[in-house]
Order: sequence, then structure tokens, then C-alpha cells
Amino acid sequence: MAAVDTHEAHHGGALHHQFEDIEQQNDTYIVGMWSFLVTEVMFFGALFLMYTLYRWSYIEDFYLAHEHLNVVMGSTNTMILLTSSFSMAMAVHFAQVKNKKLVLATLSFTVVCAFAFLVIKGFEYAEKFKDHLYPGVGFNTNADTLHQANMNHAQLFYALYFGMTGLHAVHVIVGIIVIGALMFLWARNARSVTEDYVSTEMVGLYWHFVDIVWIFLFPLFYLMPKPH
Amino acid sequence: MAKTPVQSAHAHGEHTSPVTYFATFLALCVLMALTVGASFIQLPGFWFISGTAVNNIVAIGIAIAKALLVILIFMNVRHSSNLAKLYVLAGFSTFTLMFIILADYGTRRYEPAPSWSNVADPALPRTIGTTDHLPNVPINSLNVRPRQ
Repeated sequence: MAAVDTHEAHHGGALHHQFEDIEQQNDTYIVGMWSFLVTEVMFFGALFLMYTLYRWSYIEDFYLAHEHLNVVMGSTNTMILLTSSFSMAMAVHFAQVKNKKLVLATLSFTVVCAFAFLVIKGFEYAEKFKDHLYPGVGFNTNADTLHQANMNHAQLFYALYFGMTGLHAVHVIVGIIVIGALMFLWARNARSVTEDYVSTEMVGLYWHFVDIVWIFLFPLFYLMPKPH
Repeated sequence: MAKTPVQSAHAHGEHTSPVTYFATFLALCVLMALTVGASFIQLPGFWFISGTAVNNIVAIGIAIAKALLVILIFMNVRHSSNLAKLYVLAGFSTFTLMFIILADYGTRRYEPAPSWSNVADPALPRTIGTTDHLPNVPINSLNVRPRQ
């Protein structure tokens, strides 16, 4: 057993008995997290495929309906998520150098960004709800609000808009919970996070994935080119 | 139970520096400004590619560049094991393969299906592009209940 202890002491990580060394343990964690993220890619992938199909079918109407979205709010949210991704990457760096104070500071900043994102999204949704732009029997019939787009096709656009940005927002909420749990463990000096930075890195992987989804949602919904 | 000696000291030298993270963040901001800027310009088409398609290709190209920066540097995939890299590659390439199904939508002939309003009407768009050759579809019949 002495050999195991020396091994562990050298790496400073909490090596579990089923792993040969800390390398293998960390690799297992990372591969496990990525296999989850691959299922997430498939989850969002179906929605991206549906979006592509309908936008291709109704390119003019989608362009007209998209003019109602607020590009300034969308751009602000993109900047907020990019900034939060940067602070998450820094949190992983500080976890590697075991600087608890800065880990907590950067994670707090990431959570603040996540909340700011949701607040702005909330204002955007409120605007759409006010104009009856959610799909369903009560859908808006005012041609000006739809920017002269065909009502049925505009409804498809808004179904995709709420479906995709809504699912993304759910992921942001889950991210807040997971980062919150990680911060709790750091604050409590839990060995599972302080001894091994990979716990922080895995939460980081999730948060960066949420950012990647938005990187694609932003140009697809807010920056449609005028058909020409 | 003989443990192998430390075989992986190199792994600890592979952490990304804060400077690299910050440079990546700045690059992401620049790409973000570029994509917003490009969306306000109507880019010209060439050969058989329309200007709209060029705009879309630029927007998606920039998004892919941003995603690559996040994956390779923020998610540290460039320093991950080959097995982790294989998972990343498999995940994103399967995603792109899924779009092959658009070939079916693009080539299938129009197939009317009964809708809720009992009007012969496609429940799903079975065709892509112009619908001029199709029977005139009355408004509010895209599988939407008629308004009271």
C-alpha cells in the first residue's frame, strides 16, 4: 500500500483504487463527460436539422419573421456567454494551481453572467408573448408584427425559436445549478474538488458546450441574411 | 500489486496558460463582431452560389471557427487523450452526417397528406425550394386548427 500512497502524494490527486494512475483516472472522467456531451450534440442536432429543413423551405418568410427579433439583445447575450466561458476557463486554471479564492471568484462571475443571460432572454420572451408570437391557436394575426410573413410559416419560425432557445435556456439553468454545487464543494473544502481539478474541468466542459450551442443559435436566429 | 512508476509527468506541463485563454477570448470577440458586421452586408454570389448562400456560409463558417476555438482551447481538447479526441470527433461528425437526410426532402415528390382541417395538404413540407407547381394551399391549413 505504501506504493499507492507515494503515487498519490506525487500527483496530489485523489486516486481511486480502480485506476492504474491519475492519468487514467482523469482520462476516464473526461471521456465520460464527452460521451454525455455527444448525446447532447445529438439532442440539439435534431432541432438544428429541423431548423435547416424549414428555413430552406420557407426562406423568405423566415427572413421576414426574424426581423422582429432584437439583434442588440441577442448580441449582448452572445458577449455575456463568451465572457462567462472565459471566466469558466480561468476557474479551471485556478483549480489546477489550487487557488480557492480565485476559483470561487471566477465561478461566481460565471454564475452572474448566466443570470444576466436569462434576464435578457426573459425580456425578449416577454416582448414576444406580449405580441402573441408564441405558436398555438392564439397566434398573432397582425401582418405588421409578422413583417408581412405568411402566418403559418412565421408560426413555424417562432416554434423553432422558442423550442431551440428555450432548450438552451434550460441548459443555462442546469449550468447555474451545477456551477452552484461546485462552488458549494469548493467553499466546503471538499477533497473531491480541491485535490483534483478534473471535477471543475468537467463542469467547465458542460458550460463551454452550452456556449457552443449559443454560438450557432445566434447567427441562425438573429443574423439571417436578406434573401438576394 | 506493483504499481508502475510515474509515467506521466508530461501531463502536468500541458495546462493552458491564462494568457492563451485571454487571447482566445479576444479572438472570439473579434469573430463575434465580424459575424454581426457581415450580416448587415449583402455579399455577392458567384458561379452557381447565390449571395444569400454566401452570407449563410460566412455566418456558419465564423460560428464553426468560434466553436473550434472553444473546443480546442477552452475545453482543452488539444491536450486531451486520443480517446477523448475520438469521442469529440465522432460526436460532431455524426451530427453533420445527419444532414444527409435533407437529400430525401430535397428530391421527394409532393405527397399530400390529410390535415386536421380535412383539406388535402402536406403535413410536412415534402419539397424544398419553390412551391409554385403545387396546388394552392389555403391559409391556416398547415396542420393548424382553424381559428374560431
